[in-house]
Amino acid sequence: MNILNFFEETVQRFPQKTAIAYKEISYSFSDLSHQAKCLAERILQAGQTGKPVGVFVNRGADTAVLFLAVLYSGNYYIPIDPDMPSAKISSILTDAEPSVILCGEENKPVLEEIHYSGTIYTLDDRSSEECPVCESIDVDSPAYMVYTSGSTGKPKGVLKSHGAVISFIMAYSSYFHLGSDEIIGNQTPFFFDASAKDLYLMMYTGATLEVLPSEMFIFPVTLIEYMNERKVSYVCWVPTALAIVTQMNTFKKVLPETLKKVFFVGEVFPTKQLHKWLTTLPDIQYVNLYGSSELAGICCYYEIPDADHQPDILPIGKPLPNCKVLLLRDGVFINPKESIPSEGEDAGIGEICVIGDSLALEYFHDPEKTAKTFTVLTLPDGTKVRALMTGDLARYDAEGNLVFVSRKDFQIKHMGRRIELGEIESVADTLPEIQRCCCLYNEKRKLIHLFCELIPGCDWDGKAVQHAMRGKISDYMLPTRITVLDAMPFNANGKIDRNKLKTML
Amino acid sequence: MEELLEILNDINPDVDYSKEKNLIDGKVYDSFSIITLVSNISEEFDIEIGPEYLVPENFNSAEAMWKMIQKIQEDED
Repeated sequence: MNILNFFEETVQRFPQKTAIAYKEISYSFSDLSHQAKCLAERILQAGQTGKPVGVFVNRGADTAVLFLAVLYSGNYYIPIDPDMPSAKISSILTDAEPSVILCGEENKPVLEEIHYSGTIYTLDDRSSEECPVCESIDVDSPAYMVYTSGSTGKPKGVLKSHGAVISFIMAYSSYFHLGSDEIIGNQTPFFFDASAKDLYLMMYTGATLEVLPSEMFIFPVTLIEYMNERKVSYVCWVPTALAIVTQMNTFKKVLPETLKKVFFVGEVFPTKQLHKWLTTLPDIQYVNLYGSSELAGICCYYEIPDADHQPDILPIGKPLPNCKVLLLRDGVFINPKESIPSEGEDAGIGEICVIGDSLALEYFHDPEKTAKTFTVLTLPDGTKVRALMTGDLARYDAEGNLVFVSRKDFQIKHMGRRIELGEIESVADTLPEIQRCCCLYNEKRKLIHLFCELIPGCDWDGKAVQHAMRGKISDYMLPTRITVLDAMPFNANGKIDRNKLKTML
Repeated sequence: MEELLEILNDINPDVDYSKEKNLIDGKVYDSFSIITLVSNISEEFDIEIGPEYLVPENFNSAEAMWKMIQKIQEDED
């Protein structure tokens, strides 16, 4: 069983239906399969199989053809963002050593600049013949590899198998009743791992994938109008993209008409902006997803009941049916039914470990890191299983939902107590005056330092913020220093730039 | 116009705002800068920039933004 088996079935069922569209360009399922097989034939002529193939990802529908061509050729693809600095592209290519790269004409100058010596194909190089269907791909064969920015600065590759993708997509589509009628509005670029959900949902269910033009996210009125025109019914975006829509007061001008499901993943949804979505569009299903680069898709979900029952801190919820998710603390699994510790006490906090078929195969060429992250755990019943140690800390709430607390790396020891910086942030975030915040620890001076950006018009200083937080949080967790910033610094990924803040401690 | 240029320089000081006519289409600004920009302009000039004004044409140059601000101020009066 491999990804192509189910894609071939989808092509048989819906040959003429639109598979993927971007502005005026679209591919039907049979076009997509045909063009991918013709390009795969060309890759096979370069004589390799089971090897990495780099794919330069440009916004549009062609990327799906390139990814599928790599799969049909029996190889695995590495999505590459062409806008990355050339040094970073070069470091990925040095690490993975793909002997073939698929790209657009516009990407060739970068490859020349970094002296890439392998074979380069564009979509126009496809053969007139389709390749034969490869028989040797099985569940353990690698399907794709994503590079994530490691904490050391050197990008690290995570290799995912056909079986991991199948395990995830079958559980996800059946649990959330996502079928061929769905029209997916894609926001995450195809070089981001989060986009794999959109692509494989289209390939598995026969749903149509509408690639939304990225420039529309700057002025979201046109975006919503476009989504209405294309009848988008389901989106799975990063919260920042959803928050832009409400921050720009878009709903005063236009409302989504066909949208039924709003899923989000990758970061915490700012409470106030989520509330605007929930109150303006109460009939939509809202689901918070939690995953990790080290597995295919996601492993936990939490469905938000309604605006009146929106929790201050959104849980990451319960495991998707294809996996087990447990909390491990000092070698012991935390029982969700045991007493729930009150806020500030750290007794119920453990590291999230995931068990199941959707786990990644390995970190590319890094057995040491692989062994550290993917370990063998002994379950309470004595069975030994392969588990992913996510490095994320969580606890259970009264309903047995997992609640994310912070990254293990953000756990600090302060005055002899274990403190999660993320927990301080989530408490600060419940104050209506705070737009966004970030908490750091000054190791040298032993100070908890909170940086925050306030809502427009709020004239609070650090003292006022501290005063408002008092009583909401245990005294030993109260930030000793609070800096009010005009604007929070962001890094290239659109996340708060912690490194920049560290220089301001 | 002074106040506007101050806001713009805070967001990106490396741009020559007297010449640049392509802030949006030329991808000088992304959605984060626009959110900051819209909120700072609203506050500084005490106006509400409704969604109907949030189109690329109004933000491609300092001059276009200035015209938009004046139009909103006239309409509010």
